[in-house]
Amino acid sequence: MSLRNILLIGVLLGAAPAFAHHTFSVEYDASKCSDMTGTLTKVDWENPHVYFYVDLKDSDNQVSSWSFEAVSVAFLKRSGIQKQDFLDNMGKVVTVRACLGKSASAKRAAAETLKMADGRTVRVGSDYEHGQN
Amino acid sequence: MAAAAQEGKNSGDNSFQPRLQPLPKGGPTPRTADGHPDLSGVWFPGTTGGYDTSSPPAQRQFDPKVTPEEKPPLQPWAAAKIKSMTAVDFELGRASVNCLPRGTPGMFLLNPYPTKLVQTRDELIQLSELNNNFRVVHTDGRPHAKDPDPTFNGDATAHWEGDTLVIDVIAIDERTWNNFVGWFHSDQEHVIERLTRPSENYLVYQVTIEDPKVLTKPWTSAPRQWSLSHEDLEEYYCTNNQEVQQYQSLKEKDGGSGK
Repeated sequence: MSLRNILLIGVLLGAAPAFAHHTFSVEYDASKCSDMTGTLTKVDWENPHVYFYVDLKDSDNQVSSWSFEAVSVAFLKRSGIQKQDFLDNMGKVVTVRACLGKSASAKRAAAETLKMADGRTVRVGSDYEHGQN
Repeated sequence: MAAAAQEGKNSGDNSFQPRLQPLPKGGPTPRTADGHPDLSGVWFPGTTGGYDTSSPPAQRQFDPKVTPEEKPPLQPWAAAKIKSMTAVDFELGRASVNCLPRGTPGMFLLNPYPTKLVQTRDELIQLSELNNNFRVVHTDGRPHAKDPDPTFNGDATAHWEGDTLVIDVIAIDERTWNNFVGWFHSDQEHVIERLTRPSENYLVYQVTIEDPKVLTKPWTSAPRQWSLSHEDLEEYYCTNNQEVQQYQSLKEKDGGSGK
């Protein structure tokens, strides 16, 4: 089934993309989601998406900065997450559940959940692995 | 009331919070001094008066099993044009990806964020959280402006038909779409919006779209439900949009198939 047909069915069912301002599956791959652990270095607390940045080590122990896309500021705030939650974890080890971007060269992924240094896990993106957009 | 139902935090159980339930109907329709329904309030799309990603059916504006909505009756050339678009073309054409206003009627049909209505004697003021957009609709039945230039929200005039506010809109900027999948429109588009408040907690929006250059006949939406909140709107400016660049790079990579 083509993406277009999937989109059309979604709209016909009244299930238009509710939480993202773009279609997840065009930019990211829901079949390539994993836990990624590293050091939180930065957050862009802006719209249309909050982005946060984590230093990750690859298999050769080379460190590189990855960007993770979350939902909008309004969505995060209404679900109880503040910018301060990110600031409190700056420089600390966090684990992001995220799905890779389709552009292989970009160190970029769509975040689903974020496990803070204190062990608290919060949802920062839709449940893409199970069909939410 | 809605505010009480919205208390809650993202408590770490791996789900968005708060979890909300559909609001009850609430009391009777509030009315202004002149007897018209008072449409004022902060309204969320769907039935919960807030966000609840754990319950998509409660979030949507209508239940297609209860109030099915027909497909847009596109003329063959328009359907062919849409069919020729790649997945990336769809993305790059969407107002949301470009941080453009949804316009009319997208601010109701295509808007996952709350909107605030402020009703005065002769105006309905709509404040949309998304992109901090607004429009002011005169409700005194005055005629359209003469030969108005196109704008995202169009040239609107409104009047009351019983308890329904009917908003008539022309001259809508052709960059707006009427759905998420490419339903573009022409300079001849004519939009008739109908707003009612059947009870305290619910706003119902229904729109008819006429477009003789693009559609074979007028299209009428299902009645779309919005529900009352007691939250403030958030500030939402689109100041860090990375999407256009991403989609352009994907287009260069594989032609925009989205595979």
